[in-house]
Amino acid sequence: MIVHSLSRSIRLAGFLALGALALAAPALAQTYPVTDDNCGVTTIYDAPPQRAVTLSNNATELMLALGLEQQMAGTSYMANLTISPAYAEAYAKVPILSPLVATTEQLIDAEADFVYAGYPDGFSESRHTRDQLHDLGMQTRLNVEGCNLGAFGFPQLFDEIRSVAAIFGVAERGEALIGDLSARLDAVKAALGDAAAIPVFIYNGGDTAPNAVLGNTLLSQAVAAAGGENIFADVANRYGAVSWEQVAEREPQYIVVFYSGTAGGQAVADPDKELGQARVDILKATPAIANVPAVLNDRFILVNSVQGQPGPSTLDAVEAMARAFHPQAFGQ
Amino acid sequence: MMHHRSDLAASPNQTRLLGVLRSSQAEHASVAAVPAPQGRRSLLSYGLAMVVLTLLLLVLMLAGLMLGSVPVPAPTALGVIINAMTGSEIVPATWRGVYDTIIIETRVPRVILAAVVGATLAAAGMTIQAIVRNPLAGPSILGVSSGAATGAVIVMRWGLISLGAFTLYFSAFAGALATLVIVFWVARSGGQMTPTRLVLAGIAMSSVLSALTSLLVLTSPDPQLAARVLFWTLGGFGSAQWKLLPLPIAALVIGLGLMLVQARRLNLLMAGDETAAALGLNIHRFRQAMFVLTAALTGVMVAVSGVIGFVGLIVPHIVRFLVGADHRRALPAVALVGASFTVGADLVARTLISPLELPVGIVTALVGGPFFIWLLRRDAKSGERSS
Repeated sequence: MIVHSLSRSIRLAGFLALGALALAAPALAQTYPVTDDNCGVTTIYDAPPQRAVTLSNNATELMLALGLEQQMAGTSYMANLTISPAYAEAYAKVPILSPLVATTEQLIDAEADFVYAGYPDGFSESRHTRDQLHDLGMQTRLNVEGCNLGAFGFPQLFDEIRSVAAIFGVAERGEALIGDLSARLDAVKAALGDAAAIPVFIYNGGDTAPNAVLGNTLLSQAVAAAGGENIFADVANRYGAVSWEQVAEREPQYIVVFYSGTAGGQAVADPDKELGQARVDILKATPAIANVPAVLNDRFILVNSVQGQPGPSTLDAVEAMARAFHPQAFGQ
Repeated sequence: MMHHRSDLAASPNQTRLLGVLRSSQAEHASVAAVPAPQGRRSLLSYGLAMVVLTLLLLVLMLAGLMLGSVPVPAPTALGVIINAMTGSEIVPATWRGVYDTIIIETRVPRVILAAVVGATLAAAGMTIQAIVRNPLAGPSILGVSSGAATGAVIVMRWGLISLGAFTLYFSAFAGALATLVIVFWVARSGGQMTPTRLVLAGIAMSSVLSALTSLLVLTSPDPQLAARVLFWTLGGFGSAQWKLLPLPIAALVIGLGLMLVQARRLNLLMAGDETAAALGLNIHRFRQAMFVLTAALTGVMVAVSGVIGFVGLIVPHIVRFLVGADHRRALPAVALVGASFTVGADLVARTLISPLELPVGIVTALVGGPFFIWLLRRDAKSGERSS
């Protein structure tokens, strides 16, 4: 089995450049109020939030990538996944409110003035709705992937970065981050050249019927950017149960094993082993797909939700997957 | 235990309920004396029971204000409550202002909502058990809970209406009412509404609507839908807000008031259709009116808190055991015990795996289910003995 360690050098360089840029060009005067139209909720910001709290790992990383740790009062829902090394130092400066989604009480306790969720379950009637938080004096934003009804690609991710940067009055940092991520996408594209896309199954657990990551996710587009083609890209939804027969019939050359840090709503101690590796074991033990090229050749790559959910680290996943799918293009 | 059994056996209502359970013809076969509520023995004197039950509810509500995902020191919590109730700073507020917000804006409405929902569901359950003369019945058996969930899901999926924060509550209630109309129509035949038809129509509607809800969620491209629907299918009080409280409180006051006014008639109904009719009650019209009342009450509660099972099913049994089956005495008690049950269940849901919250419906089912099974076994044994 090939588990690729992430190549960090490119992004690290980009991050350093971004830091230098942020120092060199102090925040340009941005005019407030800023109006944010987001998932059917319009929010008007009279000033940049000063006590932001994030409700998911991709929201956390997106804010840290914009260098906003000074304006954060807390993070939550990293479970036991590991933050990307590029953001580890900044992450350590912000209190971790909860391994799961911070509760309403924890948000009040943190004196949050802005709550940012990266997953659709961040705001709901079972925890706290956006309306409820608004009444408690907290402004909110949901990563648009969380309310998106169609395909979601890198342009949408860049729009998300732009929107968050605008709320905090750091538009130029947003553009720098987008420039960095775009450059990395272009670098992968250049390296791949005209290599033919290989069929890829993105597996999200399940044994009697596999859960597939479908066409409306950023991960599906990340696979495409890495020179693969999601075999279920034609299904216009985010996640869904398919059948092993369909997986066998579509003959994936590679299987991306996607996993989060939680199972049954609880954080698991070692997600890489208990969820990632365990899912590889399920794939290997499933007779229906025993003759699929990916299984025959032991071609699995683990992508956790820090990289797989829409955020700056999605580029880590693109780079790692590109090297796995097309080693020859990277001189390996 | 022997004492309890003989106590049960002495209650014609209880044995009749079992009769209905065992035989679908019981509604025709039942001929029994009119209940004589005044003479019924109960475990405790009624006054004492009510005092104890009220104190229990108050203690649980206070505990509900003390505990949560952010630890607030007990003296601080008490200080916040005392100051808020008296409207002045009797206890010097030396604590962080956020503790006021946590307790006043999240915990107080949550505890009140839990109590109101529990009281209403339990009272509705007791009335439903009387009108269908079946102890297996509860608010969820009428299909109204599923209807509310389906209504909310349809509006969430297609965004049919927009009433701000009240959109989903309104649509859940509309779903409940629509289901009520259908069940009512199915259950009525020739101007009559028999308990058996009512229960079967409710069960059928529940199944169809649950399947429809799942279908809507599974085929929806909206990523938010699944997480939001979970709230309606398993229930919870986490979204409690002051501005959402007036409607359920009004429903409880009006609903419980109407039930109390009709308490004598509910007693008559328990005696059997023939007996009730012989004593001048228009049983079909009365049954229909009570059905509409309980279904509407359930619809309001599901709209604000999701489906919380077993409250309306088991609390009436506990209360009949404690204070007897006379509705004039049992209805106020059932409201108190129902409130205590949900406030307590919410307490468990919030603290058992803190900071994660369990859906409160899981707690009520885990506690209520086994209790109900025990009740059935016990009744089955005493039934075998008496028959």
